[in-house]
Amino acid sequence: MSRPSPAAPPKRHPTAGFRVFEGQATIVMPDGSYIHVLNEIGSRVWELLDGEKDESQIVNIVCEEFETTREVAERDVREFLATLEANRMLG
Amino acid sequence: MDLSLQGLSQEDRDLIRTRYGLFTFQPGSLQAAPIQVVDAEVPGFLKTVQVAGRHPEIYRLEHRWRSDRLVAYSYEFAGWYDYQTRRGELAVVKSSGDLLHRAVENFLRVLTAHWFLRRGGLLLHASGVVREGMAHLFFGPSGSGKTTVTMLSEGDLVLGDDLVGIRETGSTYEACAVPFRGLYREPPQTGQGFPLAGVNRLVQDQRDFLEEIPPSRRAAEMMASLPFVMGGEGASRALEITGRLANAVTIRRLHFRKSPDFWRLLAPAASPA
Repeated sequence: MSRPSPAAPPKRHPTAGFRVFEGQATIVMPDGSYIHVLNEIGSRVWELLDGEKDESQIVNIVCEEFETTREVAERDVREFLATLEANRMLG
Repeated sequence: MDLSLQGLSQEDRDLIRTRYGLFTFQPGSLQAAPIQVVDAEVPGFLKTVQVAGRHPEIYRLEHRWRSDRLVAYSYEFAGWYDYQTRRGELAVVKSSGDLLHRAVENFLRVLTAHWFLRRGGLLLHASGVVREGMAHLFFGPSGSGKTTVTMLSEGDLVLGDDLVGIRETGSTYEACAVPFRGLYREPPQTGQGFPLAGVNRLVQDQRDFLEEIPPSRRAAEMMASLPFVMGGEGASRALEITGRLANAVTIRRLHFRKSPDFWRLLAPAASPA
C-alpha cells in the first residue's frame, strides 16, 4: 500500500495495533504476521503519524525533542517513512 | 467455556469424554453451550499449499470474526461459534475416527484462545510448572525447551508442556491448565488457577542466568507465542492484554542448561521491573 500522494501527511495504518512501553512502541499489523519494536525516535515518529502533520512538521518536532541536526532528522524521517511504507504500515 | 458437542456417535462422545477427562461435564449439563457437529459434505475447506514453492505447509488454520461470531476453518473442518448467543456449528470432513477428533481438538483450541482473550487473558504457547503454589511459565518457539523444562521439574505440578492459559484475576494473573494434550503429556486433571510467579522466554545456553528485557520486547516476544488470535482485531486486543500483563508480572529471558539448576534463579518470585 502506498501513500495517497507525496504531499499527503503520512498516517499510521488504521488497523495497526500499537502500544508504547517506556518510550518504545510495539506494533502488530492486522494480519498478525509481523510484530515490530521501534526505538525511541522511531516510536515518537510513529506516534506523530496522525495524518495531520506533514513530513516537515514531524522533522521539526524530532529536532526539538532529540539532539540531532535538521539534516540528519530529515534523512532519518524520510528513510523511516520509506521503511514503514515498504512494510505496509502506513494507511 | 462450557460446550456440548451434539450429533456425535456414542463411541465418539465417550472418546472425547475420556480424552478431556475432568474438564468435561456430566451428560445433560444445562450450563453447556451447544455445538452441532455435522457432515461437511465436501472434501475439505483448505488446500495444502507449498511453502517457498517446495515443501507442503505443516498446518494452516484461518479465522474470521463476524460481530460476536468466530468462524474458523482448516483442511478438515469449518466451524463457527457465537460468543453472544452461545451456539455453534462444526462441519467435519470425516464424521468419525482420527480426523474427526483432530477437527474437534483444533476447533476447540481456537475457541479457547479467543475465550481467554475476550476475558482479558491469554492462551500461551508455553509450558507451565507450579512450584510452591506459584505458576512459572516458559515460552518460546518450538525447540526452545518448553518440554525439557517440565522434565527438569520433578515433583512439581506440570500445567502443560505446550499450551497454558493465563487468566486475569483483578489486578493480578493466574495460570491454569487447558484440556489439550501437550507434546508428551496429558493435561493435569484440574481447572484450578495458580498465581503467576513469572513468565520466562527460554534461551538454551551454556550457563543459567536471567536477562532483563525492555517492556516493548517483552510484549513482542509474548505476542509471537500466542496461537490462533493473531490477525484482525484479535492482534490488537492481544497486544493490549500483553501490555497489561507485562506491567503486572515479571517477564524475562531465562538462559538455561539442561539441568534443574535454573530453578535457583526463579524462586522466590521477584517483582516486576
